[in-house]
Formats: sequence, C-alpha cells, structure tokens
Amino acid sequence: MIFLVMALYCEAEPLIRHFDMKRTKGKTNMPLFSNEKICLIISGTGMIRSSCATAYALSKKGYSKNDSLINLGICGSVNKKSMYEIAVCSKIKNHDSGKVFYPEMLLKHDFSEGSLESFSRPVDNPEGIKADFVDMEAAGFIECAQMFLPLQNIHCLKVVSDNLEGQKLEKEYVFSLINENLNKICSYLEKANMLSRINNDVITSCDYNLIKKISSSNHFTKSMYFQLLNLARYYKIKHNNLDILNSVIDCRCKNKLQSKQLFQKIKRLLEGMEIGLQ
Amino acid sequence: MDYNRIFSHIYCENEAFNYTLANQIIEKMRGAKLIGIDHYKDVFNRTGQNFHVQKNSQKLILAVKKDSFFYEGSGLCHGIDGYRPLYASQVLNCIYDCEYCYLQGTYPSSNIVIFVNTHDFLNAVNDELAKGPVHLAISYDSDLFALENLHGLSKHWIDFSRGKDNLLIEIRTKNKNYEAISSLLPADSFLLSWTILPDTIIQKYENGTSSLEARLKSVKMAIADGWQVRLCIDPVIYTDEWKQIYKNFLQAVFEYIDKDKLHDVTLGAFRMPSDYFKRSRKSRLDSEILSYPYEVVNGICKYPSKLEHELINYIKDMAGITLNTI
Ligand code: SF4
Repeated sequence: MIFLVMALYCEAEPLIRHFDMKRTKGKTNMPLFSNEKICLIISGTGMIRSSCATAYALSKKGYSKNDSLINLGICGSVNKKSMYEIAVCSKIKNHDSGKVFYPEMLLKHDFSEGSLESFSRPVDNPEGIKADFVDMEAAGFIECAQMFLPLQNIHCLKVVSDNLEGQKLEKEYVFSLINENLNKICSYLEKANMLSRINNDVITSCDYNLIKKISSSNHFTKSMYFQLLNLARYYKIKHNNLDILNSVIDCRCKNKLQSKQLFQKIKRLLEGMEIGLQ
Repeated sequence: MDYNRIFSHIYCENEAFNYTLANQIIEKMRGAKLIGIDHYKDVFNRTGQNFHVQKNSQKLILAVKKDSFFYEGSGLCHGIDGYRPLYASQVLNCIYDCEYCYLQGTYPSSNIVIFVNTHDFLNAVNDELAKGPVHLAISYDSDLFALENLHGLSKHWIDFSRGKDNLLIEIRTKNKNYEAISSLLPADSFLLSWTILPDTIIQKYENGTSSLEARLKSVKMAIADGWQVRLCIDPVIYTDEWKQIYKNFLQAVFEYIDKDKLHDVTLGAFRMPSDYFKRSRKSRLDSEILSYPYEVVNGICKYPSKLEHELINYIKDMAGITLNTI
C-alpha cells in the first residue's frame, strides 16, 4: 500500500481522480480516500495536523513494513526556483523545535533536490531562511512517519508554488501544480513502492505458515520454533524448497517427549549432510 | 531498481568543513550533493535504516572525531607477540558487501563515515606509544585501502609509522589497489595484509572485492618492493566440496607466492560475537553463511568444534607452513 499525506483537497484531487479512490467513512475531519493500492489522507494545514493524519491513516487502514508513506504537496522556494518544479526533500527542519530529519536519498530521480524548513505560519519573506524550500507540514509528517515505517519507505515530495512573495494561491492554481505533474509524480510513487517492497527473506509467508503449523501442532517452544525457522532457511537457500517438511506436516505429538523426538527428527532432516558434521 | 550512484550525497559536519581532507574529498566528488549536518550521528544513527538497502547507494559522511581515537584489540584477531593490540577506526563501514561481514551487525547504517581529523588520531597513538609497543590495526571497521584513492589515509599512516620501532601498523584489505601506495618507500613498521580466500568463496560470498588473482598480484608486487606482507586466510568458510576447494586454493597461492618472503600467514575459521551475529542474521535473511546452525561458546558464534578443528587442521596440513591461528 502507498500512503499519501496531503494538506489540501485541491492538491489531492488530481490523484484521487487518477487512481479512482473512494472516500472512506470516518469520524475525523481528515478525509481519507483509497483504492486497493493507495490510501490518501487530507490532513489540513500545519505540522501537527500532518502528524495526526499520518498516524490516523496508518492505524485506520492498517500497515505493514513494506508500505510506502509519502508527503506530497506544494512549497515555497527560497531561491526562486521555477513554479511547477518538483523537489525531493533531502533535509527537513522543524522551524519551531529546531529538529532536523534526513530522509533516505536512495532513489534516482529527475527532480530537483534540497532542504526544506517547515513553519507554523505562512512565510511571505525569504530573508534569513537557510533552507531551499519552505512548507507547513513536512517536519510534522516525517517525525511521525519515522515512528512507524523504515526510513527508505518515507518520502517527501514538493511542487514549487511560489517564491514567498505573500500572494494568495487560488485553488485552481494549486490543482494545476499537481495535475500538470501527475505523470512524473506517479512514476516516482511507483519507484518508491518498489523500494518499500524489497524483502530479502527466502522464507515465504507460506513457508512461515507451514513452520508455525508444525510447531504449534506439536507444542514446540518458542526457541524450538526459531531454531526450526533458521534451519529451514538454511535448507531452503541450498535446495530452493522445503518439500522435505511434507513428511512431518501431519504429525501430532501428545507429550513433551514426543515433541522433543520429533524436533530432533526434523533437525536431522533439515541439516542432512549439509552442515559438515557427518 | 533505479538507485542513486554510490556517494551521490555527502553529509558533512559543519565543523569538518574546516579540515583539508574534507575539502579534498568534496572536491574529488564534485558531482555529489552536499548536505551540511551538525553531528555525524544525526545521519548515521537514525532509527529505521536498512543496512542492506543502503548498500545499493551508500552515502559518504565526513566528520570530526572528538574522542576514543582507538580501542583495545579484540581477542578474535591475530596479534603480534610483545605488542599491545589496538585498533583505530578512522573510517566506519566498507564499500564491499561480504555476506559474513560483522559490520552488518555492528552499525545501524552502511553509509561510510570518514573522520577527517587525521592528526588527532596520530597524536593519540603517539601518546599510547609512550606506554609500550603497539600493534595498531587501522582498517578494522572498513577496508581502508579500497577507498585509498579518495582519502589517501594509508599514506598518512605509513609516513607516521616511519622510524617508530615500538609501533607496528597493520592495514588489511581485499583490494588489488597496491598501486595507490607503490610509489612510497616501504616502511619497517608497516604491515600490508591481504585477506585471501578461494575464488569460489569470493565469488559466492563477497560482493565487490578484488579476485584472488588480482590480490595475489598486489601481494607479489608489494613483496618485491620490500614491504612486509601478511596473508590472512580468514574467515575460513565451510562450503560443499570444501576440502577440494581449499586444497586447490592453497596450492595455487603458494605456487605463486614465495612463503619465505611473507611476514606470516594467519588462519581463522568464521567466528563472530553472538550479539553482532544475531543482528547480522536478522538483517540478511537470504544468507547461507548466516543461517548455518553455529554454536555459541563464551559469547562467540562459531562452527561446531569438530568441524572447526577439521577445517583448520586440514588447511594447516595442506599449506605446508606454520600458520598463525587464533
Ligand atoms: S571487505 Fe571486510 S569490512 Fe568490507 S565488507 Fe568485506 S568483510 Fe566487511
């Protein structure tokens, strides 16, 4: 699942339409939209709201460590970047607390990149700001996001909307900033999603279920379960399957002694000639 | 997966900008994006990092070390009689990715930290030398030589070692880049150590290191130039057909290298402190080496004694020379 946290409906609308997301009923005033692959929450403006929305979306929908979490929205540019330019944030500072966050910069992209400072109030003067970009959400988002997911799953993507000259931004303009960049944003989401799904475990969920089943049906202790899991991993790396366990799948031990004997039998099966002790 | 290239980003402590080495490295890596940071741990110690995913696009962190310039050597390493074993970690982490590497269980990140205040390290070692002879391992938490062209640190340490009778500095590598220092005069207090393993093991379990042949060429050149050279057959890894593999390997090595010209040859089977091992195993769920059912003795994960003895004794017999074992 990709989780998107966005401040305003007009920013989110192009994505909601593009991915044909439907609104989920909820009791908060942070609308949640989703389909089977993406969940988008509209946080409203500000760091605290962004933090709350992140935590709410994750807990409402349920999440796994292979999900991505992305803050997407508009930002002001301190160095007079062009409007509509997309920026990936490599350093995010909370102006109020002084806390600094460093997102992982693993993915290759064609956007610009820079530091961003999140403020609690709109900024209409770039003077004295050291960051490249400013917004009102990212620092709140990332502080919360890091409590839930691995760093490489968390991204902060901004579209430049103004050069901090204090002008009011019309909804249609904000809509177009995202809408015009939709293809580029979607391809980034795709890459971010792939990165989050990287998993080096050779034991599949089916294998886990099999080992759990054998362990629980035969009253193996936790430590026996972990030993078994590890031996199964060693065996699978060498043989590419766990078919050898099919012979014990229906075993049902009735007492401790039987459990111990079965455990030793499985150990021998998995170790076989492989561990150099024969 | 479309990753950024290695060192696409350099994180530099604001204080480190005052050091020549930091600026030289930044200059060499001109295309990299530079990000100023207060303290290296703000990046290096972030929670939620994935050591292995980061290996696909390691970043460089330049920092100033404030204290603990060296540590007491571990009993798991080969020492030199009469010398107090110390190690200095001027660089943390390695550009290679060996399946058996303990660094994956040591640090929360695989990004590379270079401490740029070389003189503080050298001064700290000078203070220690006043207390007695020191055997100092300088590439303990890294393969220092592998990045020599970037930081040039080995050269500093070689120059530092000259004329110091009570110091023996050891640099250990799996890299073929002897040329990086070949223009220097050999130093009596400096030991160049190459870790060597059979090519089958290198190809299967080491990622990015130089081939055995390339390493041995470097060894030969270094010996010819007059350097003291140590070979480390370490960690010996158990694998299918291991006897044949190690037999062929030892034959090839000692046919090519004149054993009498070596400082010594060390030998050790795979071993790792069990807390590092647990973290390594957890982070690498596709590793044959790390899923082997080791035994834990006194907090050290190692092959079952019977197998360990068999591995070590076989290699000792086959090598036909005295090997320094743990
Ligand atoms: S060369 Fe040494 S330090 Fe580098 S990854 Fe391999 S074992 Fe680790």
